[in-house]
Amino acid sequence: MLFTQYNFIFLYLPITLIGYFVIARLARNPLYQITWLAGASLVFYGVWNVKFVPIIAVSIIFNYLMGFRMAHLPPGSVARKRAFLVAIVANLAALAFFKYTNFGIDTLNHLTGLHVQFAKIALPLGISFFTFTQIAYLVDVYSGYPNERNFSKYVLFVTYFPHLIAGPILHHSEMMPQFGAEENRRFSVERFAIGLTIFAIGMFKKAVIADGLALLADPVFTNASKGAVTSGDAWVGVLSYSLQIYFDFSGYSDMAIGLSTMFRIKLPFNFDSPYKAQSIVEFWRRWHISLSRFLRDYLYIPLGGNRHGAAMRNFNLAVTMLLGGLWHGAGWTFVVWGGLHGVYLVINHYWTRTFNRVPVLKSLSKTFVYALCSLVITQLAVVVAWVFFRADSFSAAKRLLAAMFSFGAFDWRSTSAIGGTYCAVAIAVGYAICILMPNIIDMFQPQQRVGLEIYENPRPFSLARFGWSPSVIWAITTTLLLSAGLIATLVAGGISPFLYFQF
Amino acid sequence: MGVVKSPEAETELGCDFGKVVLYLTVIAGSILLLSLYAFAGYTQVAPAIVSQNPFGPIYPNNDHRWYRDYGGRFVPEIQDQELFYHNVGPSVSEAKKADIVILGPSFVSYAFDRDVLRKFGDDHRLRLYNMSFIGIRGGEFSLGVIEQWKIRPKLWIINVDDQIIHFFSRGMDLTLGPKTVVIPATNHGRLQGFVNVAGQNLRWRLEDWIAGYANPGIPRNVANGNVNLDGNPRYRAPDNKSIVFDTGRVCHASKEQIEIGRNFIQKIGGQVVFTLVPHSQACVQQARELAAALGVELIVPPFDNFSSVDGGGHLDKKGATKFSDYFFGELEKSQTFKRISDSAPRASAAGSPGR
Repeated sequence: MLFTQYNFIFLYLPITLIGYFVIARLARNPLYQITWLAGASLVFYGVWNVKFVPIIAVSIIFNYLMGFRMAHLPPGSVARKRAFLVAIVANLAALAFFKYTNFGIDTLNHLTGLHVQFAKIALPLGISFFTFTQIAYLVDVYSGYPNERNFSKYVLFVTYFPHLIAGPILHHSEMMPQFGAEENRRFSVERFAIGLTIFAIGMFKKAVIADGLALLADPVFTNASKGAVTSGDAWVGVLSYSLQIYFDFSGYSDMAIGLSTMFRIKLPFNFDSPYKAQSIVEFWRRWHISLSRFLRDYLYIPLGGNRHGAAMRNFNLAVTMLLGGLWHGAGWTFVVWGGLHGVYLVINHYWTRTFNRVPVLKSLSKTFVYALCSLVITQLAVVVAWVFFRADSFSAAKRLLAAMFSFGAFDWRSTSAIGGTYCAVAIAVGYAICILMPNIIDMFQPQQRVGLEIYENPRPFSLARFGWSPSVIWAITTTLLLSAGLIATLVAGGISPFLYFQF
Repeated sequence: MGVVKSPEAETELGCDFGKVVLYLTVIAGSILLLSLYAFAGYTQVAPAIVSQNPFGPIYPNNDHRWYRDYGGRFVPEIQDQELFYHNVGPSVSEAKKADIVILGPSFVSYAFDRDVLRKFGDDHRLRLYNMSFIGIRGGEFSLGVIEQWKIRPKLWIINVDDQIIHFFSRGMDLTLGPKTVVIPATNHGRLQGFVNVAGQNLRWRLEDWIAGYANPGIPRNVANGNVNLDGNPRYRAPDNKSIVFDTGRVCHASKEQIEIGRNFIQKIGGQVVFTLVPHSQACVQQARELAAALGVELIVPPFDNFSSVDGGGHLDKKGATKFSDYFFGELEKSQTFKRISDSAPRASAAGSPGR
């Protein structure tokens, strides 16, 4: 089931929601309500492929028991350390087996010329997300932080359906206290209205904008995997994909937040207008925020962070981003994508340090021209990296980059994707929305507090804030967004899964 | 004196409760209206609305006897799998009325000329239905439709072909162009079938609208399942080449095919006649062995001078007429047909409606 599918919207969601709040009316013990939602979340997962349910069930039970065991062992003891290592290794081994076995075989075959057969391994949906979520839990239990040991809450924390397949990566300290909390147990018509509105915005972003842009991006990347592409096609394809992945993933995140708001549970905001970022450092504070936090807290800082000088910081950044790239997909193109961002971050830190030391440069920082140049350069760097992220192979990425930067041959009329002018208009509109419009944090957070802000990002520029209220204008807008999303889903035929499902 | 607000009038976040309810009512009402419109379009509750309903079937030239079955400007798509497997629209109920039902892949859709079929039906006061499926070579899908919706004609005509996979095999694959996938209609429920058909017709309409002209696709007749191939310029072209037959192919009926065939015949009931539409790889020897093993009559024309639209097995108008004339001429003489002729014709049978 996808959030955009009719059986989810008209069947699964109403049943789950009604059941959740009816149980709260009937039973005073919140555990019934929590168990209902956890059960419904497992059903949601099982509808994808029932064979994956035992895998996630084993993962949950194993990690819960290991957490329980660790919590009852003396801090600093060898036994506690051993239990922790066993748990982490088991999680990483499971992830490696399901996600990276064939990647390893492919690499081995390329390096040695062998022809080792690929293993028939089905990748369980969302395995990267539920594994990372639980690793964070284990690390914190080992460090002595979480004291919540309720099994039903733990199951719900891992399986909670709005985040289960494509994130955000949840943190137990933010989620567990919300489950069954007295103030969240009763249905709120206002929360429902807000949730529905955010869901409609997300659905429009995903089903109409992202899937529409895929029509421009997909043919270009397909052609690039077969042979040369024109300069115009390459730019259309890459810019369209850049927008597609943003609207797809942020649309999904909005839908997840909207759904969760209906259940009166706050999820962390995962996007905060990343294409408004004026540096790569800022980009990673606004893009896939929950992953950035995870990588920072559970990889970069344990590696040493910035505590051992600039050289070690650069090394740690590079390692973190390379592994972050590999987390996104079992392929060397993803590693290069991560590596590029690692290099960008190192350059960004170097530039910031240099910049702050030179008064002339520093004085420019408040100017519009500087802001514009920073935004364009950041965006260009991000777009170049997306080429590796999306391309099927290095040769396809190379062809696209060669075509993009063959300036002598550039001509918008050389686009053959669907039609040069239409493509240019679609891309321009897409970027205008990204750069000029507010996001759901701007629209809902100041008044309604619908989500958790992991990073206190400064509010970026927007033409208007469009703060939500239960007005006729908002009702009509929501109806139009939802209707357009439903019709686009109908037209697409339910064949367009969220991009991040594969991660 | 100020107005005292009731505590229930405000929600926890300070909004007016009535406004929030009105807000939700507007959204729910609009979505409900849209859903009702789409539902009416697909269930044909209001035929007057349906002809213009973007969610309903596309009727070429506004002729409600035909619907667009095969289309797609960028990705070839076909909707009869959803229509039959999930019994969407009147196709299944029309097939259930038939005295004779024909099964096979797209070769069969092309090979049985609709004029010859109509004349044969009229002459014998029998209703015929061509239930072949473009893109589906195995018979497992047809069996699923037959069993699910209890289609029980007096006579089945089955094309026992073995191109890529045999008709009597377990495959549930759909092959359109270079792509082979598991037939999507078999992977979801009936409700999703309705949704998919509505979406497909809406998608085709949008593609037509963007392109500025209507893509004729391949229309299929509601009442008799025939496809209308007149949109293909090669269908009536005088210079289509004759099929070159591979006569040296060694092929025999396997035990598995015989076993699957036996089960298939048992499950569908009624009388059965086999045939084999001419194509370059067709194997008459295999069909004969299969017919002999299962005790079924086989009607195969001599493989000479059959012209086709693609040089393969999709016969053109001339080839289809020749094949159909031969087939029905031989069918009339067959023992199997005599057995069904001896039983009284269905009261409803009055030739095949539509063309």
